[in-house]
Amino acid sequence: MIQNGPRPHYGLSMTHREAIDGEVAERYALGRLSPGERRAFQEHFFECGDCFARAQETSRFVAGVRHAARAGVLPARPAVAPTRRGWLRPAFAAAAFASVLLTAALGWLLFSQMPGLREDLARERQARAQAERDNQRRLSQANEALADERRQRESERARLESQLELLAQQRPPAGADGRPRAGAPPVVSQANTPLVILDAVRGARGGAHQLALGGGAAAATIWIEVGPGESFDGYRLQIFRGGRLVETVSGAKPNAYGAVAVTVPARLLRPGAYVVKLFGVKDKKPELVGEYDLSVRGAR
Amino acid sequence: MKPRALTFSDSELAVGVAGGDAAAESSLYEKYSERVLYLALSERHSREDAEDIRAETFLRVLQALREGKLRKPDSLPSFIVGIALNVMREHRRQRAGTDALTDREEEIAGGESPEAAFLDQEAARSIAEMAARLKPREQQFLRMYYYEELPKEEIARALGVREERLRLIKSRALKSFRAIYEKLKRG
Repeated sequence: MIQNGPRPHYGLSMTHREAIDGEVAERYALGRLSPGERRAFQEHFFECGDCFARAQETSRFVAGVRHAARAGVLPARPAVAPTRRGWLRPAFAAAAFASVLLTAALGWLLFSQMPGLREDLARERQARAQAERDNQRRLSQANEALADERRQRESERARLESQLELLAQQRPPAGADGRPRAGAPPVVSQANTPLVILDAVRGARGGAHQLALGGGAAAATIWIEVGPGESFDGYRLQIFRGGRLVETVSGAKPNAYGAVAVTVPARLLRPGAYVVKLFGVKDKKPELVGEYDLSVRGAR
Repeated sequence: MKPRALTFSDSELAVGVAGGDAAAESSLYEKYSERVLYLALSERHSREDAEDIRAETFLRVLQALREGKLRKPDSLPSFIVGIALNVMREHRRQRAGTDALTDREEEIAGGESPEAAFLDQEAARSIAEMAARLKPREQQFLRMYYYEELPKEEIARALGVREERLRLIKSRALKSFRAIYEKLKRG
């Protein structure tokens, strides 16, 4: 309870003016009147309708405020501010001094350093923007060059595909391994196809076999007899000229006569001496079966 | 038109009741019953006890007036206050004799705070609405002054305002509360 200072003694009498000026209704509601004042005001508000209404209203108001404070509607008070003497306390003085220093430092930073920092920042931003523009320009140029290159490649690819298609139309049909099939009939029917029969004697080196290519021959057939009892999966034939491989034909199988027949384009057989090697292939491993000398004459 | 109770002066009421005038008795009750009830509540009695005290007070006042015990008819208000305070003292003694509750705080029924008897639903709502209209510092003032009952000097220092300013805040808050409360009461 708050103790109030000395107040006038009303006895059992209080005027309306005294009640108003002394805020007696509020002090009554708060229980801050002396017993004499309290009794005087009670008799007064029994006579004075205005003060009775004021007292009732104030009591209602005080009750409501206290209820609201308990319910948390009215916030708790902040920490009491330090008195003047608080400045003299060491801890507070140190904190205050630190605050002053901090404020001064901030002020110095704000008014002295900040303009320079702002200028630096502006320059940095400008340089960064310029670099970004340069990068964009370079990137754009690179993209354009890339697009040109892509267009050139597509054009080249289209040209090559066109050539490939043309060549494919000129090539003989391909075998299962994708290579031109050996012994496949020429694209154009032809009479008097040149033929050379090579002796199938392993390790034997007889005289060179002769192959005469007529002027209109498009291909020549090499016929090599293979001995019975051979159990190769297939045969591979290679033609050399001056030690340099001219042609390889794989996947050949013996025909009904026990011979391997391979047709070679005449353009590959220019006049001269050739060596023909026949390999038997089993489990993908080649084994030399025979080696033959071949002399080509009269090729166109 | 003025209420009937106010058409009688205190002297007329006293004389009328002494003469057996029923209208005077009714006017007497109409004029002073709220005051007696408030007086009992402000003396920290529960609402239930305050109602009993009011009834007992008027019974005794009417009896005393009929018996001509009021010597100065114009001192009727003081006469009623005196009887009411006597009734309260007797009531307190009776309560002290019938149960162990001697503390005035504990006389409040249900253990509720003494001022709760003044608080009706409209008052609580009015305070909440009024508080919402105040600034935080004004809200803090109300709490510190009415709830924490701190001296004005300390409150002024804590809130960083002059004491004259506190009087203004209080006045505005009370005015706002009054307006809202009356509006709610009118419905």
